[in-house]
Amino acid sequence: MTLTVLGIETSCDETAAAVVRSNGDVLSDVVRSQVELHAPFGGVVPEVAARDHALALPGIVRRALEQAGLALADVDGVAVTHRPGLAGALLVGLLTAKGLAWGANKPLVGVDHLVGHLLAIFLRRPGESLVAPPTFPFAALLVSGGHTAIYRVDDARLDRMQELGATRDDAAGEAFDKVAKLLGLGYPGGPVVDRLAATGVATRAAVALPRPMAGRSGFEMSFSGIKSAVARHVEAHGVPEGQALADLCAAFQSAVVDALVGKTLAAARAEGLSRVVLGGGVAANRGLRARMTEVAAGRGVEVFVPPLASCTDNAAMIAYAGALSLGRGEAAGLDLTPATKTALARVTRKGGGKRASP
Amino acid sequence: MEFRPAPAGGRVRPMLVLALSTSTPRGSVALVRDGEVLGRAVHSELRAHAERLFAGIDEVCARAGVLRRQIELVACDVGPGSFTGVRVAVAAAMGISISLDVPAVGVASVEAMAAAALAGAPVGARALAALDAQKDELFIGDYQLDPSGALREVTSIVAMTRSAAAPHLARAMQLGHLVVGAGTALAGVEASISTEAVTLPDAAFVAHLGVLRASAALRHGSLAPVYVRPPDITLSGPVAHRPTGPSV
Ligand SMILES: Nc1ncnc2c1ncn2[C@@H]1O[C@H](COP(=O)(O)OP(=O)(O)O)[C@@H](O)[C@H]1O
Repeated sequence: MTLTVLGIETSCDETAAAVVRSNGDVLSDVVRSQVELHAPFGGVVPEVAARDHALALPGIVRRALEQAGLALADVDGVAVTHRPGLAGALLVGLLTAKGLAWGANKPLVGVDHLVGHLLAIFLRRPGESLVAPPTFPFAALLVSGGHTAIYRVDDARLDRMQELGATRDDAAGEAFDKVAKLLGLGYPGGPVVDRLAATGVATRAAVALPRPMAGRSGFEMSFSGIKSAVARHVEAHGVPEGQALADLCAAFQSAVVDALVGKTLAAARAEGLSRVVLGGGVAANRGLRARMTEVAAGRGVEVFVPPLASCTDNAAMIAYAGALSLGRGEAAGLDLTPATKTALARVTRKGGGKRASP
Repeated sequence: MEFRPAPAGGRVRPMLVLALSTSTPRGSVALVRDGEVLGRAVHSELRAHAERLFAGIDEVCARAGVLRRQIELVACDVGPGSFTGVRVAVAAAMGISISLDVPAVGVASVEAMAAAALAGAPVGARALAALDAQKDELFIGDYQLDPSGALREVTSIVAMTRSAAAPHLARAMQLGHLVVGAGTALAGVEASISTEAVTLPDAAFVAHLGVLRASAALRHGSLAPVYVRPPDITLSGPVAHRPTGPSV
C-alpha cells in the first residue's frame, strides 16, 4: 500500500515542509532558506534560526498541503526531523508536527536528518526524467556545510546504514565557506568558489596546499589544514585578484574534491560496493560531480547524483524516510524529544584510526 | 475556586478553548468553556515541556470528556519567558490550529498573571506582573481592568534591570496597584498575592483572556512570540549537522 506523508524539516537554517508518497513521488516540496538572515554573522545563529522557524513554519506547512492538493485528513502520517541539529530549531518543527498529528489524529514519525539525506536519491520529482535509482547496497558520500561522511547503506532504514569514515574537523562545505570568507567572497561560499574555480588552473596557484589525509589508510578526512594553508597564504601575500584568485580557488577546490573522491572510492572498494550516491549541498559542486564520475568510471563504479533540490536540506526526504518507517509500523509517541546528534552508527573501521570525538 | 476565572459576561459566545502555557518552568494546559475550567494539567520542569505537553493535553481532554474535534479555539501563552519554552507552546498551538482548522490567539504570560491577580477586583484596578528574565533582569507587564473584564495594557512589556525594577515596583505598590509574579522576589519586593496562577502564568487565565479576543484570533499566519529582548548572537557550535565556526 502506498502511504502519503507530510514531512517537516527545521533542523538548521531551512524551514521546509513537503508531501511525499512512499513510492518516492513528491507531491509538494516547499523550502524557505534563512541564509540571508544569518549572512551578516558569517554562520548560523541558533536563536535567530529558531525565531524565524517559529514564524515561518505554519505558512510553509499550509503551502505544502495546498500544493499537494490535500487536506491533513488525507495524509497517513506526519514525519519530522527530530535529530540531529540545533536543539531550539528542531523543537519548533517537532512541536508543530506533534500538534498537527494530534489534531488530525494521525501517527507521528521521527526521522534522523542524515537518513533523509541518504535516501534522497529515491525521490521522484515531477517533470524530471526518470533515472533508475540505485539498488542496495551502495556507498554514499554526504557532504554539506555541517556534515561530511561516507556511509555504507544496505537498506532504506537507520539500522542498515553505517558510517565508514567522516571528517575529523571541518565539514567540506564549512571549508568552502571559511575560505570564501578569507577571500572576501561572501557567505555561503561554495557556489562562488565553484564558479571561480571553473576559470582557474589549480597547478598555476602560487600556493602549495596539503592533500588532506591522502596518504592515510582508513576513510577519515580533514579539511581544516587546507583552510589554514589558504589563511597563511592570504596573510603573507594578501588576497589575490583576477586570474590569481581563480587559480587559488581551483587549487583549493581540487584539494578538497580529490580527498572526497579518493576516500569515497577507496571505501567503496574496501566494502565491495559498485555504486556511489552523492548527497548534501556540496554535491552541487561541479568539480566534485565531474571528478567523481570520471574516476569512478575508470573503476567500474556507478555514480548517482540527485538533483540539487534533493541534495540541499528539504522536507521531501524527511517525508519519504518517514513514509518508509510508517510502512514498517515505526510510529513515535507524542513524547518524542529532539537530539542534537545523529542516531546512525558511527564505526571506527580497522585501520581507520581513532575518530576525533565530535 | 482559584482556577475559575470570572465568566466573561454576556457578550462572549460560550466557546470550548484549549489553552497552553510553557513560557516558564511551570507548564500548564487547560480546557475551558464559558469561564468554567473543565480540565487542567500542570507540569513543572522547563526542560520537559516538549516531552510532556501532549500528555497534559490528552489528560485534560479525557478528564473533561471532550473530543479534540469539539475544540473551537486555541489560546497560547506567547511569552515573555524562556525563549525556547515559549516556542514549545506556540509551535504546538499552531500545529493544533492548522489540523483542527480553528483559530489561534496569543496572550502574554504577564497578562495572564495580571488577570489572575485582578480576578474579582473592581473595574480600574491595576496590576504589575513580573517574571525572571535572566541576566539580572525582570520582564514586567502593567495592566488595568476594563469594564468588559478584559485587560488594558498600561505600558508595553519591558525587560528591566533588578536595580531599576525594585523602586519601580515599590512605587506601584505605594500607589495601591497589585504587584505580583515570581520576578518580584528578585527585586526584593514582596508580592501582593502569591497564589499559583498569579506567581507564574496559568493556562486557565490564558484561556479566559483568549476568549475575550477570540474575534481577533488568527485563522492564517502565525502566532508571534513576545521575546522583548533581541536574540543572543552566538554562532552554533560544531555539534549540529550544520556547525559553523565563529571565525576563520
Ligand atoms: N557549488 C558548490 N560547491 C561547493 N560547495 C557548495 C556549493 N553549493 C553549495 N555549497 C555548500 O553547501 C553548504 C550548504 O549545504 P546544505 O546541504 O544546505 O547543508 P547544510 O544546511 O548542512 O549546510 C554550504 O556550506 C555551501 O557553501
